[in-house]
Amino acid sequence: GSFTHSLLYYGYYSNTTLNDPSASSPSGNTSPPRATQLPYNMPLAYVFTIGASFFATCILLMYSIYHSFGKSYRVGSSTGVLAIKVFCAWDFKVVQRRSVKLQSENICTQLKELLAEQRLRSCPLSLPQRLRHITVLLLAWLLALGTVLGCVVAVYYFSEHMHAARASAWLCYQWLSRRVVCSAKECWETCVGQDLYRFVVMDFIFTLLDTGFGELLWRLILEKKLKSKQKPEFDIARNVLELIYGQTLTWLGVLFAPLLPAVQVLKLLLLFYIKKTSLMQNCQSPSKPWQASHMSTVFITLLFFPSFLGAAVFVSYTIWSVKPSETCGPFQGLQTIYQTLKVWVELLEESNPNIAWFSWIPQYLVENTIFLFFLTGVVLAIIYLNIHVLRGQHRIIRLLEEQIANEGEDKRFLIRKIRSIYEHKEHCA
Amino acid sequence: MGGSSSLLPQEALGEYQELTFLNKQEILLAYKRFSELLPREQRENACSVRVPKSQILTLPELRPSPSRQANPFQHRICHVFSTSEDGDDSMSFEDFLDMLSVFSDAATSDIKSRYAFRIFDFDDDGVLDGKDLEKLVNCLTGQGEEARLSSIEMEQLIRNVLEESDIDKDGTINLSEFQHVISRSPDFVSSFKIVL
Repeated sequence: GSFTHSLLYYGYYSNTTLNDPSASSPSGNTSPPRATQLPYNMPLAYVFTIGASFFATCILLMYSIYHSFGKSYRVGSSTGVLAIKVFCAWDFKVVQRRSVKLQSENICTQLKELLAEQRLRSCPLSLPQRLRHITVLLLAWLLALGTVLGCVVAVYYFSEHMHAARASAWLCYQWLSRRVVCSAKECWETCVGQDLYRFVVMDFIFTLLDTGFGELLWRLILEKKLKSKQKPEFDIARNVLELIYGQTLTWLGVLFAPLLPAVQVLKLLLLFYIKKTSLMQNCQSPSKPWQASHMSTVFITLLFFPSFLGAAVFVSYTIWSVKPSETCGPFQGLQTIYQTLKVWVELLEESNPNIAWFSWIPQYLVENTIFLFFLTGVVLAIIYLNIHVLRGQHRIIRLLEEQIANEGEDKRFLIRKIRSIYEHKEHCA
Repeated sequence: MGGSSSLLPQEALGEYQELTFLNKQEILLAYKRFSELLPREQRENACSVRVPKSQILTLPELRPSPSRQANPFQHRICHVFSTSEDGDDSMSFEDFLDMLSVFSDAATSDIKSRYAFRIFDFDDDGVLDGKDLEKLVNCLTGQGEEARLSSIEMEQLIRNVLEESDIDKDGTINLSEFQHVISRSPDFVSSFKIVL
């Protein structure tokens, strides 16, 4: 409500150049006028800040994925899980009696599961059993998808109803078609920003409630009512997925509510300390053991692929093709946000003919579809080459293993021969 | 605790720092814990005294509990690191430091895998064969009756482990094959650690 006309949202930012020496009066910002100031082109700054932050996030994520992949993935390491489990599973740091017992039980359960899986693999299910298996899977999928679709349809009809009833609606989700009802009627970007801000705050509140009820209350109930020593388990997967969800919201919202990352940082700091206290007091460690390095690779990849790339695609589409609103924000009156860049490049060209070559970058590279196809082709070729190199390495590993086995055979054969010769000699002597 | 009477001499401290992977605080802490195990009159020459195995096993990191052992590998650890000629598995201070050094943060994966191999080699013949693996798995799963694997499962497990790790197909796992298996697990270095 009160934040609508503040720095938090898109609508606040002006579309003019601030502190421009040629302008007659400064426009709408709070910096006190000083004698000599550099002109600050607000729209350009906005686009560049968003672009730079996305680019930096992309580089950081790719670097993290590269590192965790390097640690947890080895060529040809898909087999050998049992041996690794037997040799590396015991954690020598564990000293308390209960933890040692828990660890032994965990290892025993894991070994039994792995052995059962192996037995299943070596004698596969018969055809009717497999069909039954597949039907059950299909049914589960259909049920899940149907529920999601049903919820979407229900929300759509509900929001139509709200629109008709002219209530102060808080279900604005049809952003791009602009049939929204929100407090800032002219400024759809601010609406979107408001919605995302609301989502972030709701996420925070729900996580707090979840920590409170799920962990604290549950432990109290278990202790007092049921008198059992068991504490609730800390579900790492669910917590990480909630973090990924919150981060996706922030990435989606940074274009429309530029201070949303600050809100997210605050929220994460608070959540960290609250969850840490709750964990220490209310929860016990999960009974299913956690393969730290493997799982962190999975989660970082999950963060990058659907979450970050999805947000980046959405933001790129908005910058490229969507018409900004007429009356508010730094991009008023332009056809698309991308036009700011084009206008700026033209200005540069006019003012300084020496760097005219700079202007052909957007024209020939970014907008030229042939160049984009070429780039995609190069990326696909690199991926193809890498797959073949990996296959070659797999084959070499297999050949070398066969060679070692053969040499072992040779060694045993020669030793047998020598022994038989000695025995023969002794027998004759 | 008398402070001045149980201090380690400075040049010994420097020597130990160079020869092991431990830093100064860790060596001093180890010295303190080791001298606590000794009867009072022997504390001055803690460096040269050997502590019998029963005393070593009172350390919480290796302590057996009344009904079941805390660390199932405690006997093997004492045996591997003991340099006693009598074969009674008693440990001197230097053996103790050696053990802590191998199990410390700074030790390399190569050193850790070598010592892990020696610890898991229950019959000390230099290779891991089926019997060693069986004793290893029994240590891992614990002593309770319901926790053990059945004999069929044990056989399947040993067969699979040998199939996966025995590259030269001689029925036993030697040090290089063991190190090859270990190199594929990124969690080994962090789990093969003891912190005082």
